[in-house]
Amino acid sequence: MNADLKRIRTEAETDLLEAFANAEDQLPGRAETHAARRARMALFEREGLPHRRIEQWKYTDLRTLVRQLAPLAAQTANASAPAPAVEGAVQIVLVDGFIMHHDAVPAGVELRSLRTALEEGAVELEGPSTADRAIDALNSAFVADGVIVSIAPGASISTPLEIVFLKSPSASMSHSRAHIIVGEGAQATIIERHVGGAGEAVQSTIVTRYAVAEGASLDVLRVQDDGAEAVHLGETAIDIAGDTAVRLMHLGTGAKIARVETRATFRGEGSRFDVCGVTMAARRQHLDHTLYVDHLVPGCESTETFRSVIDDAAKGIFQGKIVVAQDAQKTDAQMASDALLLSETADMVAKPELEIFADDVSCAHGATCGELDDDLMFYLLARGIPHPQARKLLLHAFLSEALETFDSHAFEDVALAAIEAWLTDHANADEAASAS
Amino acid sequence: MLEIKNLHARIADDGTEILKGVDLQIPDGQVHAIMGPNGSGKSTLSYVLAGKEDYEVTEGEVLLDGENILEMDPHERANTGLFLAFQYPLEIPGVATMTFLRTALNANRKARGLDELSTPDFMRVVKQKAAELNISMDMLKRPLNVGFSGGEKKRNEILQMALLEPKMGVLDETDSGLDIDALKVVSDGVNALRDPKRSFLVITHYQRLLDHIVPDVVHVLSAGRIVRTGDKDLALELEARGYADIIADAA
Ligand SMILES: Nc1ncnc2c1ncn2[C@@H]1O[C@H](COP(=O)(O)OP(=O)(O)OP(=O)(O)O)[C@@H](O)[C@H]1O
Ligand SMILES: [Mg+2]
Repeated sequence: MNADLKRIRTEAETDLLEAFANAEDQLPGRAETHAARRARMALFEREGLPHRRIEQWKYTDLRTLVRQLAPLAAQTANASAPAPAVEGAVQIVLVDGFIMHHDAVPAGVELRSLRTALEEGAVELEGPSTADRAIDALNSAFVADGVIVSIAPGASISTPLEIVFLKSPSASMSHSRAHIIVGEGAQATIIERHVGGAGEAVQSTIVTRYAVAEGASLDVLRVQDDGAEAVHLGETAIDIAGDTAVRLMHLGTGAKIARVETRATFRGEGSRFDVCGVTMAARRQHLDHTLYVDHLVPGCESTETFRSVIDDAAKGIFQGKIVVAQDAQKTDAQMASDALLLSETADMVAKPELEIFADDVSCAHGATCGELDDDLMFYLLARGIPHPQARKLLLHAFLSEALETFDSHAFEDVALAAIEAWLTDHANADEAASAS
Repeated sequence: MLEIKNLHARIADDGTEILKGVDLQIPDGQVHAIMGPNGSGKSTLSYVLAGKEDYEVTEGEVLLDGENILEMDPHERANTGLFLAFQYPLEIPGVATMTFLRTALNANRKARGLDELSTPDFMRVVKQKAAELNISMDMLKRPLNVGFSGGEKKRNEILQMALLEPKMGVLDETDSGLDIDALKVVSDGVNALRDPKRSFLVITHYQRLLDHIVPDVVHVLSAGRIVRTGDKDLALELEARGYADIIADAA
């Protein structure tokens, strides 16, 4: 073997290859599936974990951020899921990627085990083995179970379906996957709940794939509330057919290191996609949201609204790339990322990009990063509102402005409660720190 | 009683001195007016009283009922009974006016050792005071001052004062931007708050306001000092002759 081609692998990279070699026999799927898994793994054999010299991973260098790999999680018999985020939601609970249990689903909804589908060859894991799809590649190589949710064409499902991606509280690596198929003209509400792990070093990849057929409408809430030591690598990919409306809300407060990728692709005309994101980071958290919106066809609209509050020595990253293909005339895409830094050591990187090949489009992006406005603070203080409360009011106001897409929607209440909880915890943590 | 003694203040950023020895005493129950040319330091005085961090006091003291408020944080000054109606009230998107009013009122009550008002009690109080100032409940549901007209913002300031019932109200150009009817409404609002235990410092450029809110004493501030003090007729004199003579006399 040529010595030049050999890179020095980190301990985590060596362990990753070894973990795959040891696990491969037990992973479900026929010969083709296994070939696909090996092809995806080859990426890591060749390149290792994504690192800063790869453009899309410049700010989230997994090679340095993830030094040690936890052992692959085995299926656990029981764990307790949290109460639903939205009252009355039907829960489908995955523990470390394995289906644990699910509530009875309404008519028009069908659940299948991804494991069975893989064994029967009904689902393929093919995809590009390139560094920009590293999360999907890693997940595809290892995934052993998961859920396929199908919404029948024309079905209007008013009950939210909550997929709980629960991590058991022990240092382990897990790979979870869900495929959601929304039939023609159907309506559905999906909640992705990423929780668990307690204070343990859990590492997970979570891939959710949505295929939204013509005339359908879909609302998705993704709550990333993993434990304080978690590494969370998530990808949500949404394929949008014509005349559909998809809304996505992302709330990111959990994990020590999180990279969440949202990938929306317009494949049919006359559709819209609205995504809003709220990120709240403290301590030494590293929370990365990377967004790709591909306008491949004409006449679609998208809005991307992200707000972040970063405190302590935490780091926030927003990368947003909107691509408008040459054919995609009359595209309207509006992207904004705004951040507030609450301490001198807090950091925010925003990298919005537009790549436009069509000439008749209306596209804009903007990014701001600043501190709390002293004059606004003073106005509140001058009315007798004490400092912590005034700060909380302003932060609440700043973050909640990202939620306009979901005005009067059940998701808005979840978001407001999450913001409130974070600000309260946070004010308390600050108080405790200043008292000691 | 508000006592301002030899107050010197400068801009924290660059050290420029703006207030150069202000002396002023406002006994309980009185209304004092401050007039003076643009840039003479009127708003600066009001901000220094309220505790804005942009300014540094280098000399002097300010006593409210004998307590030195310069040692207090801004919110403590407010809760001790000092109220500043801003010349330019700020817009805060995302904070509903009602939420703001309620938070402020409850913070005040808490500081005074009173229980928070229940929602119905609070609504009743707000409704009544807003009606007196011709403020619609719809307006109060909107984000604080966002998209409010100039006059609406000023009326909103007075509503806040009416709710917080301070000992000392400092009104910085509350009349500017008001139409004739609104001026009357706002003045009536202030006059309704007049009380033997409450005093006001009214900053204005126009004698007209002082026809409605009749001052006990009128001061002229020029280049950071009070250069002339008189009764309400001083305002008429200024209206007729301008500041030039008075400032020249003082120099
Ligand atoms: N934060 C600041 N930074 C820089 N300069 C300031 C600041 N605040 C006040 N000044 C300056 O101090 C002087 C006094 O300003 P101030 O606003 O107090 O005047 P004023 O008497 O209220 O004027 P007006 O009648 O126009 O409202 C002005 O020259 C102003 O530019
Ligand atoms: Mg002024």
